[in-house]
Amino acid sequence: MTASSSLGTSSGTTSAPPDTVPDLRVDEVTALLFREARLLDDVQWDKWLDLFTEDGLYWIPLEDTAAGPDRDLAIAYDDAEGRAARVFRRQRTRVYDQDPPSRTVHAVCNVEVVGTDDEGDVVVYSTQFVGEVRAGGDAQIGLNSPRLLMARVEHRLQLTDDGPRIRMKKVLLLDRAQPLYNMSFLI
Amino acid sequence: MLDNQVPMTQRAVFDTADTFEVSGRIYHDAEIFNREIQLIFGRTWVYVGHESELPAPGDLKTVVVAQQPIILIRDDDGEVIALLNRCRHRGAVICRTEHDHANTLRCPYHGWTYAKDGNLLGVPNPSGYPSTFDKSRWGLRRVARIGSYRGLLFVNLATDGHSLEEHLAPIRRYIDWWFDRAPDGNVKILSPPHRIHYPGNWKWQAENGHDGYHGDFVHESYHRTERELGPPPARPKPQAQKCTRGFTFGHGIFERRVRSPWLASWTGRLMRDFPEYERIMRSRFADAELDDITARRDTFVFPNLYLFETHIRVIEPLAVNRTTVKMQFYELQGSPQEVTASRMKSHERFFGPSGLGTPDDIEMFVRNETGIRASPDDTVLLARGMHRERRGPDGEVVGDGSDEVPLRALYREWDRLMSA
Repeated sequence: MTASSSLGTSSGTTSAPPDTVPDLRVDEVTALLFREARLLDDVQWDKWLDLFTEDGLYWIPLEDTAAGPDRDLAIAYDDAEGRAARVFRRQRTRVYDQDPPSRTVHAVCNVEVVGTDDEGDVVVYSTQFVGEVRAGGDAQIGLNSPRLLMARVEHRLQLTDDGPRIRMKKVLLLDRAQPLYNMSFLI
Repeated sequence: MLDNQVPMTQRAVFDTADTFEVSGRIYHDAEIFNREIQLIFGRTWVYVGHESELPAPGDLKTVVVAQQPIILIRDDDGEVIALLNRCRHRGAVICRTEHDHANTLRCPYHGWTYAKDGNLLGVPNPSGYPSTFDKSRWGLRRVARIGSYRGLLFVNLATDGHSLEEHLAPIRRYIDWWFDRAPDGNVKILSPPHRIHYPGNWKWQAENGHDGYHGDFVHESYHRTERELGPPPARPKPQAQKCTRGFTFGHGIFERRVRSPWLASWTGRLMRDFPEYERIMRSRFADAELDDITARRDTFVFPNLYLFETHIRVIEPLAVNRTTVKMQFYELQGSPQEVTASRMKSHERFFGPSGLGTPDDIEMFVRNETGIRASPDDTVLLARGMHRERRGPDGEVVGDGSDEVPLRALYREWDRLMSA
């Protein structure tokens, strides 16, 4: 699939929502997004991996222009191997940036099914609020300060025999142009 | 034994034949930070950006040096000029965005308008000033000095002190080799940088970029992940000759040097993976030169710049306990597009706020920041490898890969400037 999209971009490479009604209801989409949020908040990252298609993409752009992901640096740009590496590192190795670990709360709202893209994937927009904190002892600098990350999120969902799966998740952070502290958890 | 001629509470750097220690106060004392801003960032050559960020006349970038807002703008002659970002009338800042383009600089408060070179062009309702009002006296103030080396832009707020050429002279050959990896000999900033913030002192980052001691520990998780999931390692396993170098004026390098076919280096692997890039490099350089060019180096230019394989890193001290780090990914100009894409994906995997490496480093900085508060006057020990120091080709100090030679160079310059 191409990585271009329309949410918040200046590229406008995706056409307006087509007249055809996607074969997927808002409540089915919402159920998937809620399930994803729950898996992330429960740190069930292995199950989160299974939500994606083989060629799925997890993408947190820095700037989302027509130049595309080979020319625009991203905060994260994970194909299946990249996602697997992220999860392996977190779950199977000694990670200092997640010691102590992040707690997160994902709130998913403004869910809108806006159409299908050129490849027949269903395009879904949502607004997400992600609270995050790492808890530690009183003296610890860099811990104990809850953060609120806000993002517009675009999902591209492929309809499979097992239900919808994520072909792309693109997270446009509200403060993507500002300096960010430790982001070693999943959004 | 420390030289105790001066009371411990007044000295910060203990540099003797037997040891090298710095007081923990230098990381959390706000008064020392204020002196650093004045005597280091206000008096040395500070990296502010790359010329490719301002390709055309009127392109501008706003930066902060020694806590002062500054405009870099390319004038009609093609030169980059550094102006204080402050209207001479009532002090309002002129430019707010980080990158912009302007034919004139206009203060929104009362409409005073300046040319790209800072000259005052006009004030609204000029009859409010007498005919003797001399506009030539009220242009935007220029930063004392600005200089460029192969596109790397530096400013110096002080009129006196050594030139940029003198400042870079000790490590110029290494900077040149860094540029030589680009077929056109130039780099180009492609996109906004990775921006990272941490609640800690700026020197934690300054110390860490060329520290060859921490990698196996802090980045154990990254290395293990790459071993398990990454591409199979080359056989026989390529070995790099590691060393550290410490120079006059605070510069330092952590170096990993390999022999042809250079497979233990970034540049060597790029040549293996992208034949067109290898063809270009071999057409430009002999094997002996490629030994120098392909060596992987983390190069620190005192006080705020690192040159890395994938990015230019800029350290911005905001307060004694607040620091911003920017990682500017760059293209090796003249290299095939696939080389850029491959380098970008490698960069994204390790670096940035969500990379598999950077957050572990940042975690160490905040651990340092926390731990240093215990026994606040106690020193940290930067003496590793003092007993095996030797001299390099330009008279620089050379140590083994995990030695703290670059840190000692950094703090000798720090001490020299802070003692002024």
